[in-house]
Amino acid sequence: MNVVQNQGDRTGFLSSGNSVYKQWHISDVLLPISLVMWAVAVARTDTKVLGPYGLLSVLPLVFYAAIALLIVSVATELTRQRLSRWRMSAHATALVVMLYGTAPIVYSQGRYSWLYKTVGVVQYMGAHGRINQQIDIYQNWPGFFAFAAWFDKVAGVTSPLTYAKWAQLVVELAVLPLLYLIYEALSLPVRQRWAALLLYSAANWVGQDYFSPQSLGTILSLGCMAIVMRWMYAGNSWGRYVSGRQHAEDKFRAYTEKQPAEQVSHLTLVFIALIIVYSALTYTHEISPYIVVTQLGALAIVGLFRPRWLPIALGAVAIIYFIPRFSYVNSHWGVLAAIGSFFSNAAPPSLADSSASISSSQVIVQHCADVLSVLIWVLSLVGAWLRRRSRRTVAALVILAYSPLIVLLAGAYGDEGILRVYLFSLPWSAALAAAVLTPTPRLPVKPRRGGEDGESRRIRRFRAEALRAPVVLAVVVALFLVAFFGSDQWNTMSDSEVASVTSFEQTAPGGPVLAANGNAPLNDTARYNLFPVAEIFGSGAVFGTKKPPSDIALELADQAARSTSGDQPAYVMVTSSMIAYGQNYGTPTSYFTILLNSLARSKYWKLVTRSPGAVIYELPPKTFPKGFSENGPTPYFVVP
Amino acid sequence: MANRSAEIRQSAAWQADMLDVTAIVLSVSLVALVFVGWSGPLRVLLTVAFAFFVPGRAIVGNWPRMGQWSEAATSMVLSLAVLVLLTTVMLWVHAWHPLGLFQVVAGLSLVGLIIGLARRRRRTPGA
Repeated sequence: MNVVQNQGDRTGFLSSGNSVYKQWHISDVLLPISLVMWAVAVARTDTKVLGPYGLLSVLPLVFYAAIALLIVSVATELTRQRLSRWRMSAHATALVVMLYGTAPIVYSQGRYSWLYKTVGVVQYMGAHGRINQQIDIYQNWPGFFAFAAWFDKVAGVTSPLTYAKWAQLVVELAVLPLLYLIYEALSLPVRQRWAALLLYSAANWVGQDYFSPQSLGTILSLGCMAIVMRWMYAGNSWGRYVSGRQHAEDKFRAYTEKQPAEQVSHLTLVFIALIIVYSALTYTHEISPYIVVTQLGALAIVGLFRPRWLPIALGAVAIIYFIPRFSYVNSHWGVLAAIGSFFSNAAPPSLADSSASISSSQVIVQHCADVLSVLIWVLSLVGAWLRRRSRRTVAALVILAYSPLIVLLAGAYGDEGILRVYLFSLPWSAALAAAVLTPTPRLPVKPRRGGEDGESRRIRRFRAEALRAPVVLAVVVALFLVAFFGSDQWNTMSDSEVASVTSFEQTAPGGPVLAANGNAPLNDTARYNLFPVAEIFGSGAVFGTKKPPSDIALELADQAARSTSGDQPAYVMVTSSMIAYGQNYGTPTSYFTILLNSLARSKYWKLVTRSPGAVIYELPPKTFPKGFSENGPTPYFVVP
Repeated sequence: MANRSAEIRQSAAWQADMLDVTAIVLSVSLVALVFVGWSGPLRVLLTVAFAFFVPGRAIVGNWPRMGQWSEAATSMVLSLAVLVLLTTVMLWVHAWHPLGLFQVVAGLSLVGLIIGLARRRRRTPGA
């Protein structure tokens, strides 16, 4: 077998004495330089004051130069006649490290307020050793939290806050080998596989890979798909993909020895493995199993998946798990009401609250995210057209990419349905879009009469095609950086804020919390269920979007006392990240000033905590403001 | 042809052996750290490596056809799935003993890894 022509296969096939094996590539210089530049950039980044475009405002130019150099290095490798597997692996890893490893290095605390709620659920399960399904929806899908609580004990940490900010990097690195296996099983050309990996990493802006059930759900979902594509995908001419190496080993084994008889068939074991992985997915994340079933079911319908009954069986597993939890989910999330409302379910979160006055910078950030998503989908359609002769493979990828949309017929998933659809569509859309990046195989080009000879035309065409990868990657990465880092002004939490809020929730008596808005590291302790939250400012909040009165503290005391009946304390919390969020989403700083001044003057609210990151006031039990009446509005407190 | 194929088999066996040895070292190291009660970034990293690799590797190491397809990625997925399953069941049955579970999983994984190594040695003479 001529292994030299086996592109992208293990370089271990080449003996160390082979001249091709020892050949240096220009990327052997460019890649390390880009990594050094990136390291210098993150070392120089000061995140004390972020501008309206978040981290982008403070990243030095050398960071962008490092990214650009990496893209050039990638392009030089992709255009080589023979791909080097370890070099492409290094480039894919480097891209992930640069895009997803920057934030945990430059920020001392994890991004996203919703990260802290996840931490709280983990802490609860670790502390109590049990589940309480009446607290919130997370306790009804406990897989991730149970795993994380176990992890904390084994790792010897008291809180996931110790490592949670690194989750995005870990998850994005973990999915790379799974994606490669999937693309290999689909018989994608080697060059297209690597381009797809790069596109996936560069286009995953939705930020669902943070320390959360969805991140683990993504890994398990891709694990299911990898097993399915390898052993049950019916799109290859052989019925299953066989790599060059496997083919050689099979032939060797057929000639030299017989396989020992297996008591349990291999496919039976594959089914068992699939059931274990899918079951874990079922009680880890609410929507992921249904998307996987939808994708497999769509493949089965067109005959690209065997056995056809398997999606039905997997769907039954998910539904059987859901049935006992249906009443809770429907009462809190209105599942039945959302069925059939496809277009409203498909609306992105940016459109969900059109009443908020959003800052111009955040509008641009949202538009970049939207443009990136549309770009990937458009490129996927173009890629499907370019590779249309690979009928089965293209058909499978198109089905896998767009069948998740069907799930939106059933619900909006809290206005995030379209984001999850994009997330589950991305591996397949990226694979199709990669066909646009990668140069087509060199075909013989006939010389024109009286014009250039075939060789010159081929060189010119190859050079033009070689520009596709760096240009497309550069555009994708540029949009990604804006979408991914552009909201960090309010997505990031300071040490002071996290410490103050965490300490408060660990020690204060339980009671409802009136938060200026929901953007804070709330509920990150095992006692999170003791502090239900209602928001003061914003659409649907206590005071909505109108300017608060000067005696807002009195009105809040009135409503809080009505809510608690004086049996427990109530709290008002204002943090720096709440103010940053409000500035960008329709709550002027003056509103916060009015609130804080009113609280400071109030004889009912007692100051509990004042730090650079957070101010917390308490309405002690049995405290009823003057003129208190049991009749009147009462905030709707929920455990977030 | 026969020599090249023998090289391929030995190379694959060597790679699998290295992965098994790595998993064994990870398990033993983490068990030691947990037993001693030493905390720090190293223990966190070892726990990540253990959770993402060891139990699954013990399964894949004894499943030749799965190992031929994917040594590392399926180990990761199976590791995570098994741990999610076991930890969730522990919560459901109100038998929350995370360190006890770790010791059991680590012990069973070590046994599985050693058995997988031995079986591979028998299947691959001269490796």
